[in-house]
Amino acid sequence: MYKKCFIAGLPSAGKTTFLAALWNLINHDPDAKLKLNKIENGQYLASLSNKWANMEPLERTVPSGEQADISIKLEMSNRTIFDLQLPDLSGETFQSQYEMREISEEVAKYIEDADAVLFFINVNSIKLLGLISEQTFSRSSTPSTNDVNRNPKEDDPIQIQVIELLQFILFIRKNKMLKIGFMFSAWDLIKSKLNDIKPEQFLEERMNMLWQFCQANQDSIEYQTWGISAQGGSFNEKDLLLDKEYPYERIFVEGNDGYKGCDLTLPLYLLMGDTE
Amino acid sequence: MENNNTENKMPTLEVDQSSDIDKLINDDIETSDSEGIVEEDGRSGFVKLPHGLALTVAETYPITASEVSKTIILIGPFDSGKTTIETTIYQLFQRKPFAGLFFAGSQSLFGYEERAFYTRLESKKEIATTPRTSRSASEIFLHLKLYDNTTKTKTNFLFGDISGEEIYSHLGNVETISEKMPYLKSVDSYVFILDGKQLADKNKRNGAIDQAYTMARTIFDAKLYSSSTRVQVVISKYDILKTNDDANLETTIDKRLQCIVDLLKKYVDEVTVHRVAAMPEPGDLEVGYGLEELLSTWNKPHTDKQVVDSYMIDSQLDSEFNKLIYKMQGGLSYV
Repeated sequence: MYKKCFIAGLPSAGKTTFLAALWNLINHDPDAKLKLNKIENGQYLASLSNKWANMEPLERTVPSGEQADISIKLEMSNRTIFDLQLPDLSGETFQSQYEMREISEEVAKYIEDADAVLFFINVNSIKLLGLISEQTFSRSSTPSTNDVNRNPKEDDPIQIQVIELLQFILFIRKNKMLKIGFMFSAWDLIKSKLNDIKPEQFLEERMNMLWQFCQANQDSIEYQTWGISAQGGSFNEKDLLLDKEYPYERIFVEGNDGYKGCDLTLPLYLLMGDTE
Repeated sequence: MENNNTENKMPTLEVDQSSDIDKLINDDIETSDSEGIVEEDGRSGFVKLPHGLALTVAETYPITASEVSKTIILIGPFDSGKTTIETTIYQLFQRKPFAGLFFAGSQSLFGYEERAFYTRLESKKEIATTPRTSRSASEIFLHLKLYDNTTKTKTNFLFGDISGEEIYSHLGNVETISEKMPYLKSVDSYVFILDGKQLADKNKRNGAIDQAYTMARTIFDAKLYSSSTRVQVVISKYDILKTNDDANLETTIDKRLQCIVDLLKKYVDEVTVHRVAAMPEPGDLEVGYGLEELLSTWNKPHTDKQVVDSYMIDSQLDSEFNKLIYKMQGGLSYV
């Protein structure tokens, strides 16, 4: 049985770190919902995972270094085996779709065929809307003469870029039902400030337009939200995190039903739905 | 001489093609394919994605022909706040549902962002403003799809972002406006905008009101409306008017506006007056003041009378083209 999961996200959203941590977990965690059945072509993931295990910074995936052909043979608790395809595409590839309004036929095919999409959003990249009219600062007597030109990738709100990419995905899939998991990465940063917040509440409070979009399109979008920290914390806490007996123990995953643990396969397991 | 007035010098939204609405109207209409805005001339190995900018009249056909939609045309002189009203509504959806409606999508997100940038802190501007809409621009419609969580229905709003110069070039000329802008006949709401800054200035007030009166008369005498068309007379930049020292100013303006309302009521049943301050100066009024009421007015279902009048039709609607023409003439959506 083949299952295809498409991994999407803007640059620095945590996609590659997720893959590195996932590889470690499915190899070593006996309690994971999904486990590695057999190593076939795991060289790329194994290499990422080694660095991740030592808390070495992972290189950003650039368009020329994309790994489109990643497939993992996974096994469920009832011994059902399936191949999961998880292409590791560069965040720049997605951002360029937003600006250049074109997508490679290869990526479009992945999107069209995907059983589910994991959409990574770095919580650090989210900025709330700041309007000039709501500022109470005093104006300078000599107005700035420097015109700032809009750079869509930098200046347009993350939720707008995410919504546009979702509209592209729906467009490519001709509005075929889309199962999507929003993966809020660097979740440890949020929990250190707002301990009680759940991922769904975070979506509603910090990315309200995206939340509205999902609520309004339940006829074509079925979504879940997850908070994840695949690295487990910042590199400043490296010594502390390396003290864990097993590297996968530093992964943090939070769902909306109260789940808090290290099982990164849980979102995949629940999104794939009919695997059992 | 060096130009020191660079603070609010804004880029203009330019397009290559000149406006030729007649040509667009007469183009072959494909109503069966709602994905029709993909261009054929993309790079080899790449799929072209929707452009995300404001839509041309032709690009609105797939929406209006297949889904519930409302066309809103904002009419006002240059710098009266038309684009600011449109973009502020869009921006307020980024924070929370607005007027009881949820954001459900947009085919012009990129176009909205282009217009909204100079109202944001990222622009480093000190005064919020929006780029001037070029007279030659044929991409005039900004699109918002909104979802009513109570009725579980989605409605497409198409906001006509027509440049002030373009529409005012037809002031008092029934013939040219009918010829150049026939698509106005299918409008659900006309929004006549009177610039609050001009109304507050006694040297400009009378001219501003007279201009709006004549513009309204030109459009309605050209029969560019249907029985279900609504009209909103909107005072923009209300924050400026409100802080004026003349205590009788608003009463004076109300009396003058009543002339416009009385005129419009000879043509259509529903005419309302609104005061808005989309991006007010810091003070008593909040961003988007009056816009919630305005959006609710646009979204309100038509009364029985309005529906019955526009539903009267003799011919058979057996082709997609006839259905579209019927809808463009102000009839109900057939889908």
